[in-house]
Amino acid sequence: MLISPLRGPASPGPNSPHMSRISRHSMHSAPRHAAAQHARSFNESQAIVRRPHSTIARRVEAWIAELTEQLEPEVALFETRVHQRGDIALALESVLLHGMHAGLMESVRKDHACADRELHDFVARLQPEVRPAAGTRHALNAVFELSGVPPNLQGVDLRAAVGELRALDAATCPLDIIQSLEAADDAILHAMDALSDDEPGAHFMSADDLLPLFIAAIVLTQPRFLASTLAYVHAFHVAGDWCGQAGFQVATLEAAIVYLQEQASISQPCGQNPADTHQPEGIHAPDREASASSGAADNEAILLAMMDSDTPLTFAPDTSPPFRMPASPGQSRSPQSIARAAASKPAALGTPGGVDVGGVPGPTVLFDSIASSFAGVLIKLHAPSEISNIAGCSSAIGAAQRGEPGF
Amino acid sequence: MPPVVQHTFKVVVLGEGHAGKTSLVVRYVQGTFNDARKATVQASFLTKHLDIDGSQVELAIWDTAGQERYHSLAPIYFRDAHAALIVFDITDADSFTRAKSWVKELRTMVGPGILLAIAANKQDLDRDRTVPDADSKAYAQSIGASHLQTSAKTGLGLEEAFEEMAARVLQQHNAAAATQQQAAKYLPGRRQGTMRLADEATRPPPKRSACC
Repeated sequence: MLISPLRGPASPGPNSPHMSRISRHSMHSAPRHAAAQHARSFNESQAIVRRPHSTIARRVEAWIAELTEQLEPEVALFETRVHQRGDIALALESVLLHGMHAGLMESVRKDHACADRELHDFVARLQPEVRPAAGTRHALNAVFELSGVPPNLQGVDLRAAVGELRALDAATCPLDIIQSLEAADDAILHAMDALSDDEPGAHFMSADDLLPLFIAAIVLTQPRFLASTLAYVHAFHVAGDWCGQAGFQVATLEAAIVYLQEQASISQPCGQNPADTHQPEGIHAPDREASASSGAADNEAILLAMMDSDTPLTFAPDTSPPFRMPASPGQSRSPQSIARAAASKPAALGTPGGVDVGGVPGPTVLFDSIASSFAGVLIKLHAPSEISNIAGCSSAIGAAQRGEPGF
Repeated sequence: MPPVVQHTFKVVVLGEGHAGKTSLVVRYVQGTFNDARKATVQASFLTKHLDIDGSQVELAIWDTAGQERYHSLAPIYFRDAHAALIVFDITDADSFTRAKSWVKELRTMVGPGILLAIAANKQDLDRDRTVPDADSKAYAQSIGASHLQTSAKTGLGLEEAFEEMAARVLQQHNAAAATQQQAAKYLPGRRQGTMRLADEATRPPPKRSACC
């Protein structure tokens, strides 16, 4: 969106004394629309401060784009097996975000702690007690009723789907999450298939079947970080196929979460506006009312700060080392150097000493491996479950380097 | 080796619970109807490759839950859709009324850019028809949607429905790309005195980096 700074958001708010003297009806509709547009633009620009995750995601996106470009000549060697740019981007995203996961997820979970807790408390209250008493079946039926599972499908065994969804909380990159969701869908399909011997009517799994069964599976799984998981995948699955299968899986998860929130009447978690949830240490969002009352001068000051800035915007002091995104045109950077830049960033999120990803190599080491033999990763895309598993990834690279059969 | 997909377009299928939207999609993509099926088929998300005048197009077809209790969740599914196929049952006047309300909602939530097609389904049950063909045609015309007579049972009109939709979406996409290119020609860089505002609050969370 391009907006001339000379037409900045100097319009009075609807509750200002100035506005009260003007009859709304006396204003022509065009200026009113323009005023509303200015106000909207201003509020939108402020949101950047509130959500540094989006700026981080943009940086991730930029790294992926640049690395993809650099790696394309190498990928051409494997054209017969992997030929889509999207696959490369997805591989890079998985490796990069796996390395950054601990810091990012901690930050996202801080943001969504209230929603996570309330959702978890709600599904925990619904959880049928596991005991061999007659009440168990009744309790399970209550879950099915709440989820809207049609009567002919209430005999579906969701245990396999629940097993797959348990992996959600332990996911270490967006692809992990997508794969758990896909596996859960497959498990639901197979469970329906097993049931269809007795129920000749159940021949295909429509959205009317999948959604309620998926909601029921979520309730039975009781994930602890539902809202965070969704926010994380929305923010950081930058190489995602959002029109395709991945997008559908995430939409189903989102629909389940929204449905459960509606059922629990969680309208505003912890009384917060969802747009105001991110308040990391050291960054303080401008107070909305204060901003509104401080008038056009402050707005113009902010606008001046924003002008000619191509970098992500923050209006608060940023104590982290300045981020330098590559290079002058024509001066290409190696994947390793970009990976080092990537490695330095999670520390700025408040994770002391960089990234702890549970004993696996950090992004720098990982990217060194990838850069030296990226072919292994690409080949492994044919078994996508491996790509999010660093051990599997390393073994794929090793196998590729050794020229083992099948690679 | 399958041809490389050049464009992926998202198509949402909307309609009341028993309008036959899932059968219609399964029939189109897999060529089968409800009978003599041995295994349960995944029908909530399906893809179909098409060759439209030499362009390799993939339609990602999203089924949506038609039950009333999930009504409020529909916008999650039709966010960023390129086209919507709204299915109603010609033997059920209520499903036609419901189709009209889907159209209104789509226009509100997605805007006028989304391409619409109205499928008058279950043409094989013509003798039980309660929605006159002229009514649904007139309605489709009034909203600028294409009108298609379909039957999941016989396969009537399905190929035409989706291919026509894909062709229209491709045409729209190409026109938008040409306009963008033209604009880029005249605006090679950032103009002095302008600034870029990130559209944070209104930006839909998912980025469509892998589709058109």
